[in-house]
Amino acid sequence: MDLIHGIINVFSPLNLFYCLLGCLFGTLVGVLPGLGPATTMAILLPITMYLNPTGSIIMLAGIYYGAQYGGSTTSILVNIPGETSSVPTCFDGYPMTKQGRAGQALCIAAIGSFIAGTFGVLGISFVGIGVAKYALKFGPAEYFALLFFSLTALITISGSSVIKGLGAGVTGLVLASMGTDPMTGVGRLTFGTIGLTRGLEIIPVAVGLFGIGEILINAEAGIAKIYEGKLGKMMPRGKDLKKGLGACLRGAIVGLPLGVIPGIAPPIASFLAYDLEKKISKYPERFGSGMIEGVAAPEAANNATAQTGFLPLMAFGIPTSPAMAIILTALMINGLKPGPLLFQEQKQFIWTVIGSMYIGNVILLILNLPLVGLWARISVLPYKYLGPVILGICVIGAYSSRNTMFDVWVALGAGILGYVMRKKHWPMAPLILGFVLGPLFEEALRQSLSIGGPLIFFRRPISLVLFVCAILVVIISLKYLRRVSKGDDPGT
Amino acid sequence: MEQRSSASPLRVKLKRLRIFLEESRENMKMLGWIEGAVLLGIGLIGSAEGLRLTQNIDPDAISDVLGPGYYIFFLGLILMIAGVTHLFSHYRKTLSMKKEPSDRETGKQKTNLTVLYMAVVLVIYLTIINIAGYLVATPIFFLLEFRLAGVKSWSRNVILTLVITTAFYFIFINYCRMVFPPGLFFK
Repeated sequence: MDLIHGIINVFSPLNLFYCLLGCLFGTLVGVLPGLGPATTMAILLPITMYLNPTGSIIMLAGIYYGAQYGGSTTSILVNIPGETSSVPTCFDGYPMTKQGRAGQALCIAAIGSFIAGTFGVLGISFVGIGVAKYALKFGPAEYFALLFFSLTALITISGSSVIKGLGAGVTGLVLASMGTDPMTGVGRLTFGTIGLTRGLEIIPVAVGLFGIGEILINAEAGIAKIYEGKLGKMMPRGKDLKKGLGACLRGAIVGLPLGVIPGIAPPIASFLAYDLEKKISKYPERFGSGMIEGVAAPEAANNATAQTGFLPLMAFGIPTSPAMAIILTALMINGLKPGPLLFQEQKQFIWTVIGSMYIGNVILLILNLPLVGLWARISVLPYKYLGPVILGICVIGAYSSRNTMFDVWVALGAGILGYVMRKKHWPMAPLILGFVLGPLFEEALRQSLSIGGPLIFFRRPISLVLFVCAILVVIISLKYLRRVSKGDDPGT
Repeated sequence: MEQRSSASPLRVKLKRLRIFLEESRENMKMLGWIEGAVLLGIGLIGSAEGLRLTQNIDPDAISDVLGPGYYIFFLGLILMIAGVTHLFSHYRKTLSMKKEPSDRETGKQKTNLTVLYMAVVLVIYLTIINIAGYLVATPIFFLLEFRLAGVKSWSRNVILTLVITTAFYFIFINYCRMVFPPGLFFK
């Protein structure tokens, strides 16, 4: 009943408008190489202060899962992945285009994204409330253990070096502790400056790291060739359709559980799904030459992961990726504390957001298929026009949080840091999540130690299990996941 | 007849270290050392701050076991360990790597300068905005940034700058009612 009310609420003109806007921005962001969903969400975050809470979260969520849809367009048509999660789509999508089957590739990518996205939202709808009720049993020790597990997973899975991940994550925690200690009121790492006494705000840091950093990196990007060929038949038929649908379902099954694990961003799920498809295929040697399964599976997986990533955020208040961290920030800015009480105290809000994901998936299917030619042309918009405008928006965004130039300088510093980190392949996800979760992490740790000392983490079963899971994640990551090609930080 | 090397083991090691450092610099691998040093530096600052807080704070003012100091002290310690490990692993990696062409040789440095100039323009913009005000500093900023980004035609640049500045004014100042620095000359 709550879900039905939520879907009905989405059909209010304002909410529908924000849903459409989010999906439109998301597809645009997915299509434009170099502009990730986390970057766009960070840039638009200050604007959400002027919107109502429901509308702002609907829009940000639409950008996130919409980008997964849009990323496939340029991967298939011009062999340039719009998002990191669409890299595997290039392997077979572009060969399909060269064979005159671009339409079928785009169609199966959109269908796969829709199927997986719908499964993901169904998962959130039916599992989310149960998980949230379970989360009510969590005390400070359990929360600390969960945060520790999340950060550990992120540090070991993001990027190619555990030391770099650890350095980035702990630096995020240190940056988060700058300012006034909430429990005693003493200044920490303020260096005698008034600006730092108030600590670092998340908006300038996010805008700088993802916005300014991204623009500086993309100042070097080139222009792709515009796709001028015909799309061919849109809908795959017969065996191709059967194979494609099968791969969609398998990709969705791979991606759905991965979304709840911190650090497993859509790019990792899409690579794993592609790998799996190749392994189980009767003709693995044909992958890379235009196999429809090679397009369907990664697209389904990345969308499934994007959707189920909302589950830990809504149920526990724990973001699993930088994009989720930005949604968490948006929730906090609007005075909403994500976690188990959100499902109880803000029922209308939460079910409207979940309902908007159903509607958003339909909107994206409509946007992506008929308008594919338009998106292909937009994808090669020269960055020389876009870059300075986005830089200007970043400056305004950073300034808007506290109306102080100090925050803009912080954004610039974060931007330079983000640029250097990207150039030198340092993962950004641990840094931003360490920064966002730092206050919660410290509070949970200090409260737990005050209640029961260090042994409390081992006396409470949920906390113990989470610590064991953290160790397992480290072992699994070091042994198996290093094989998966990562390239840049998949968190963006 | 073969000549025996009279260099001591220490001299040989020092020579290898000097050659290694020179090659690192040539191969632009110095950044690996800088990365480790930065981690070490942040760790030292964090630990020092943590120690200062644990020693200088009134124990009666602390309501929890950890206090504000120990937490940041241990974070600093972890960063220092990470920094040292990174430095060590970078040293081992560089020993086994072949000399690669430097960025200067491959032409990459030109691109990095454009990025550097864009960052410098941003710094100048943030500096002069308090003096000249938002409405004066912003068009100058866009003019320079568009030029650096690759808009070579000045007429197109000026048109773009005017359009974007006007759009920003109406959206952010007029509609969103944001208050930007007016500068010293406008109140």
